[in-house]
Amino acid sequence: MNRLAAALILLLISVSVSVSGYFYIVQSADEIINVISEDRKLTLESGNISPERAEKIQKIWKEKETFLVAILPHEELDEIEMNIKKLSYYQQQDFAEEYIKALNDCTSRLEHISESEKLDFKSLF
Amino acid sequence: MLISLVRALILYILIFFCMRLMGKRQLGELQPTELVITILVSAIAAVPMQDNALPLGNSIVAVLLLVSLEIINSSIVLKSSKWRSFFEGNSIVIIRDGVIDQKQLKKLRFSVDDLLDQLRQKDVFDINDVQYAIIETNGQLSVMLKPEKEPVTAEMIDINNFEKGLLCLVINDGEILKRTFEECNMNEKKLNKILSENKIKAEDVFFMLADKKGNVTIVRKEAEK
Repeated sequence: MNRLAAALILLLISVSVSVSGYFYIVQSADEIINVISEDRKLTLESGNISPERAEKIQKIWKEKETFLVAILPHEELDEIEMNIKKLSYYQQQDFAEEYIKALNDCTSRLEHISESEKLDFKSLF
Repeated sequence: MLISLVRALILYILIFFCMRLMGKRQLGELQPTELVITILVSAIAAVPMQDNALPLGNSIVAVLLLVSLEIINSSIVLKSSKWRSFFEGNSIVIIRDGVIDQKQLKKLRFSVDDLLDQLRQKDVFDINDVQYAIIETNGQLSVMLKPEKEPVTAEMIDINNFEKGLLCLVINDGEILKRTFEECNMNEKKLNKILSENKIKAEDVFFMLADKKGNVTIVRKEAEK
């Protein structure tokens, strides 16, 4: 009976971790994409890169990455991480074009992650 | 390297915990589903152990899910005979009174060679000696010999067979194992008495066996050179 209870608890844990993990990935990706989109829009409008906004993106990424590494392949996250690290260099040297490109790369990678985690035929098989 | 070490340690603890939870069964006694789950669990754990780029969380969730489903399944199997026969199948009689049931043999995809091989492993060299041979759900063969071929037992020839009782390990490498006391009617007072009668201290005992009737076997530790 104790063994069955332990098994039911483990089943509950694995199901809840999987479901919450899915929602965490989707929500984190959306949140980061929103911050990036806002930054891209303002950068394109003003032509200047704001250090505060670049820092905000890095901060939110660091925050979300801590748990994302446990549930997503590290290769995908490494690419986003590298692009986000580049943002501060581009901002320091005022390379607006490269900055926008790095933001776009981050967005597309995050959209891909969010898409691939959806429970549909394509992802399952 | 340090990451590999920590990941391997985490997975070792996880697998150890899961195997303890799944219970004690020898490899040959596992049901087919249990065997597959055991192999699957080790394969799932091995992948992130080799590749640090893979997330550990996914493997942990998969292992926990498989183990919990297996335990839940085995608990239901204990309660429901229908569930048991669906998941584990039923035992099948393949030899009756020395006659092979060829239909069942074909159904099981068992060749006569396989059958003879398994019979020989049970020390049966002639099919005619077999009353019943049954293929159990875990694939093992159980054999019941014809009465005239059964080995003689003490009961058959009316010999008074005195019960020996279970031998328990009371001291192991100088350590007193109190958990076995109940099994062999032992207590600390009795043990001290036996040890003093044998002029030996517990720490000098390599092992000591005892049964309910008070028979003891004491083996001293060898003196270190």
